[in-house]
Amino acid sequence: MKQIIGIVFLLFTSVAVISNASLMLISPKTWLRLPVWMKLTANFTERTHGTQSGQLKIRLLGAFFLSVMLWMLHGCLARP
Amino acid sequence: MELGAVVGELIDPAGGGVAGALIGSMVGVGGGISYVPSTDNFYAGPVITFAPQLFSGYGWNASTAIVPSGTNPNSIANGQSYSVTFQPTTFTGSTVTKSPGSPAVAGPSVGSRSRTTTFSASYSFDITPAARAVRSAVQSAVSTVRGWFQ
Repeated sequence: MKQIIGIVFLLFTSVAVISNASLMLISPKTWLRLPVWMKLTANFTERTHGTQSGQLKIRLLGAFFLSVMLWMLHGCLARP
Repeated sequence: MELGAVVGELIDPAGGGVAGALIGSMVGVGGGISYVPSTDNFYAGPVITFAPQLFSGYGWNASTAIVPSGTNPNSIANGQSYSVTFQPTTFTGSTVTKSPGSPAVAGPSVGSRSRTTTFSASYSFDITPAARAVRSAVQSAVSTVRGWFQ
């Protein structure tokens, strides 16, 4: 039972992080316009992060989170 | 925020939702994943966070813990743990994690909740056997496909 609960949280968290991080990397403007329940923006808004430098920051953060998730998935699936 | 509004409406149906929503925006519930590379163990479970800043309950962060020699990292990652994250900017922060029975450990943190301090409580389940089963299945599928082309 604990395994199932853990896997549910693993899937839920992985999907949320990978989808948000990918969108942050591809299109920061679209990510900022997502509905509240879908995005993990904290205090990121179009007003504060709609500028070129703000979008670059979002892209870097997205790339970082995507790298972390891919590293963990690589450890999970591809380690000998 | 919706959770906070619902709680606020339950407390005070005439206008409590506004206060509840504002308080609720500082509280977040979600999930967390931990990976211990040295022992190849995986953990996942629920997390509840509180950040004393409006709309900072949402958000995410990734951190690593520097575990002193002689301390088992799995005892920190498994079960209940409490952490405090101080995140002055998005890419510079630190997290201190304390698990019952283990010393507090700290490490750098990156996250979307900038200019705030976040308090989190989490409970992680050991999902290493399931992760290893998935890995075996993936690796046998890959070797089967490779066998078709050899």
